[in-house]
Amino acid sequence: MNHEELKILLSVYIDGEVTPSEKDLIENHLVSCQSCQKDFDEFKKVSSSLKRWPQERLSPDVELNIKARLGESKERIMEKQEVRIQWSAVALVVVVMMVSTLAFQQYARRGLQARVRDASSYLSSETIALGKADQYEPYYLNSNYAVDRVESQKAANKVVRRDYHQEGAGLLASAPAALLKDERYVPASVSADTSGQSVQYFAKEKSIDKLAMMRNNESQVGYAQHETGALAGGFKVVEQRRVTSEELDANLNRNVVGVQARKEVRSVGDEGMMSPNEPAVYIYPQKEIYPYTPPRADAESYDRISENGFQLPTQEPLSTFSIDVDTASYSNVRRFLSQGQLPPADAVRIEEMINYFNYEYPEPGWGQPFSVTTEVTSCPWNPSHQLALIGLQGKRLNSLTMPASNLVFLIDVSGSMNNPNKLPLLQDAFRMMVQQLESKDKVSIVVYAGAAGMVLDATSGNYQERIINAIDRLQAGGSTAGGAGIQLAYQVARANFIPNGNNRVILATDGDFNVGVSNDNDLTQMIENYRDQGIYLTVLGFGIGNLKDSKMEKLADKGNGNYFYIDNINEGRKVLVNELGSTLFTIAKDVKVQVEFNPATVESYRLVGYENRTLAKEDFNDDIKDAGEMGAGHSVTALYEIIPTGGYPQSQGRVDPLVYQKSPIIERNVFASLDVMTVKLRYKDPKGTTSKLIKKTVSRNDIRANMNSENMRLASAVAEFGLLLRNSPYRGIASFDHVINEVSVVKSDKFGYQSEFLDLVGKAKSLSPYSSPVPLYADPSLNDRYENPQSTHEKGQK
Amino acid sequence: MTDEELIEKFYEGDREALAVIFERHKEGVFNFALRMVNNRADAEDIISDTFGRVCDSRNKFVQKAKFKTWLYTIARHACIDKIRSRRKWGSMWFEKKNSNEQAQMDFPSDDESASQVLDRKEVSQHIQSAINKLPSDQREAIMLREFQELAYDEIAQMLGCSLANVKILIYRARVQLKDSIPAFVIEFLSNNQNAKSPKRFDVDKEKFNQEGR
Repeated sequence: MNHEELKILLSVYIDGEVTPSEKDLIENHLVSCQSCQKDFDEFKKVSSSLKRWPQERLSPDVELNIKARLGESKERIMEKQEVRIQWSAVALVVVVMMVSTLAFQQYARRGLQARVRDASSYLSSETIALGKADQYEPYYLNSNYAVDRVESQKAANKVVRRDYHQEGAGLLASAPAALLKDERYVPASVSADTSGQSVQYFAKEKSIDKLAMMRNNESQVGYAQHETGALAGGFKVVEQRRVTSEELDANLNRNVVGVQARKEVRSVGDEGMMSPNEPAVYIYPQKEIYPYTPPRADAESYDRISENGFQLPTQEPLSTFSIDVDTASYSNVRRFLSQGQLPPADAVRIEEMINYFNYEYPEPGWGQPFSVTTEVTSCPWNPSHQLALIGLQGKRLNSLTMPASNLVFLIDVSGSMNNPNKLPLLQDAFRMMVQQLESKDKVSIVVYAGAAGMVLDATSGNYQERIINAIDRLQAGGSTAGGAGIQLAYQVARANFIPNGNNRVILATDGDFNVGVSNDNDLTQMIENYRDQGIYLTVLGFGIGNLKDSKMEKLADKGNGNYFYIDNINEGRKVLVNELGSTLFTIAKDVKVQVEFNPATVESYRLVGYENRTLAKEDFNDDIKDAGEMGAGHSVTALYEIIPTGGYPQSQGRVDPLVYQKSPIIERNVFASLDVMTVKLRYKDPKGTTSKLIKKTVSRNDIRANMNSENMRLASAVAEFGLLLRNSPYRGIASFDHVINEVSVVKSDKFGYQSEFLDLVGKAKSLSPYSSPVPLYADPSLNDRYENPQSTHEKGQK
Repeated sequence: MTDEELIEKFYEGDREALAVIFERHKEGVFNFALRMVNNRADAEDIISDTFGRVCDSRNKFVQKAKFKTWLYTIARHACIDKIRSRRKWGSMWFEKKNSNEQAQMDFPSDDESASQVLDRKEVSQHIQSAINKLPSDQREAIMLREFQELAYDEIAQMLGCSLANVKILIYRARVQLKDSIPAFVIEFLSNNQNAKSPKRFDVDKEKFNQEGR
């Protein structure tokens, strides 16, 4: 027997399958043969290892399935297979039905939004929109929408002025006549906002806790309004006690107006303005009463803003700040006012309100990223002061010059987003945005809730249907792990990085970061790291009551991005469609402004807004210091309130004269310059690391007292409105009426922003307890103006 | 009660008897199939198919061989059918990578800790890849021997070859496996007393000690 045969026998021996004679043979051999001994050990080990190879478990489902079929004869099984074929046919039918139902729901939902909009325009003006009820395409996708909306509001304006002679421009009404005739109520403000109408009433009597209900004769159509009006439907519902539909049904038929009062009602004699805490009656014509939870303002967080005070150029000649192109504050203010309450002062960032609007600054010259405009005129809220405007206009890009985009939508789908103002609005907005994309652009979608996951891998802008499908599939549910989502989104963005392109994560959330990288420092660190790699962050805020405003602004700021608050579809259109370029394409980064004031002409100055953007004067020339970014087509406007020398000395007595410095004694006659200020700008190219400088000087001769440009008129009016909302100590003789007058004069209103602004001013006026100016100065001539602000402004305009 | 008696009872109309048989052999057949086709979904089909054929009244077990041999013959045919149909249809669906993933996806029992699961998976992977490298006849033979613990003559019966041939197949498989299974896996398995079927191993060892020493 040769060795090979012996080894085979060895293998057999391990298995105990040898005959006694073979056994003797192999055992004797093993004693003498080293190599076989080694093989024997190894075979033994292999054999025992294989025996111990862990077994996989049969999945319980399969096991049950087989067990159930055990013992059935083959014939039965064959039968069953036939049955199964039939079942699969049934299943197919069911699937087809489900798919078509879903599709129909989607279709109907879109259609409903359009109808709701139509209903609102129908209510505001009967001359328009009669035909629109038949239109089931989302109407806001139609380019006529903005125009129609403006026209319908204008038409409604006329109706109001004729019927109700409401004081002040911009107040609209389509209130049910029956309600107006009811003596128990007095119309407090009757106004329409972009999203429809909210008609507000104050009850005259005390302790009305009974429901008053009446038929709405004027408008046969009405729909439910969700909280802030994103659905742009019928009227707003803001009340303490809910009207049940049973109650309504019991009293009247279904086309009713439910009117509801809070218990505590102010007396009639009190003629002062009503604060938002005063009892109010809101009416809401609608078929069914939707539950409405009043916004919990306490859960929203805003950073405290302490306004910039007046500075003396003798002591602090330099004012330095970083630009801010954010506009979120304005939308947030609008949301508050639409809900019938004044925004908290810290939610009002005046610079963001000013920058919300488009100004007609000249286009930048060839090779320049932006143009600089300066203007000085008299200050509308304090005629003895001057107002200096510094306007930057970023270069506009057309679709040819736009770089390719690598966008990662990072979408919060946590339970808190499950609200018509949040996820559905976001979906609508993104759908519109996707239509702007081109084949060179890439879109990915990452969602986060309990966990983060990618729902759409990088997809070219060509495949809009695929992207829109992915957006449609989003559903809210679960808790929020913002951190993990951000990490994933950045990874996706890096994987699809486009050199020289626009690489950006677009975070859409209500700001709830519950789990994951909740540590703010870690989060900002990460955002900064990726920013340095060329991936920027844009933050879109949605929803109410839970808004972490301060946090979101900071995140966007760190990520070289911008922050927008989107409260309705129009805002979504503005940010993601009309101004997509500015939202997404950075044309200059770290833009800093430094203004040097001439003590010879400027007694003191004050920067309006930009409170959280001020920089130390050394930071201006420090290229390491981060500052705001400017997007394509962005315009940035800053206002300085200036007290000229020779005017009423504001600073006197506030600061003691300096003892060791000469400068306080201004040699006015010796110093021949008539310059008011020198504006210096520093910016970097989007990829640059060293800054470039732009200088511009404004002379006293440039001051045009009452020849305000439209830019100046609009910017100053918005600032004035902001001062009023903030109840600023610097508001002077500012008044809502004056704001309305100023803005009404501005002609260009391409997207209807100004007319919307007028509505807001009207609402704020009715809500604000501070509508009458407060005397600030001892100057009797000024006090005279307070008695008659209207006449003062008329004088001022002539 | 032996398998043979149980199947007899089943033919007399006792459906419970078949359930007992299934309980006894489900893991064995499933793992045999899984290691043959290396794809969990296919293995599930195969075990289902196998027991379907066991039930088939036209294909009764006759007391010529052991029941276990008969059962694994059926399972083996089911595997061969599956592999054929996969070759016919499959290459585009069942890429190697995918099928491997399929095999990985498993149902850990509740008493295993996460690290145990991972250990088990890693060991499984190494052995599986070593087994996959064997020619198919060697693979069948060694598996029937080591996992299903069939006797050589039973294996010969199943594979339809001579006893001597079976011996050679098993020997060659062992020679190859002792080189292709990483030493640490062998170490792990021979040291790990908590491995899946220690009882069986102990019995085996006793048997070995009695016979071998």
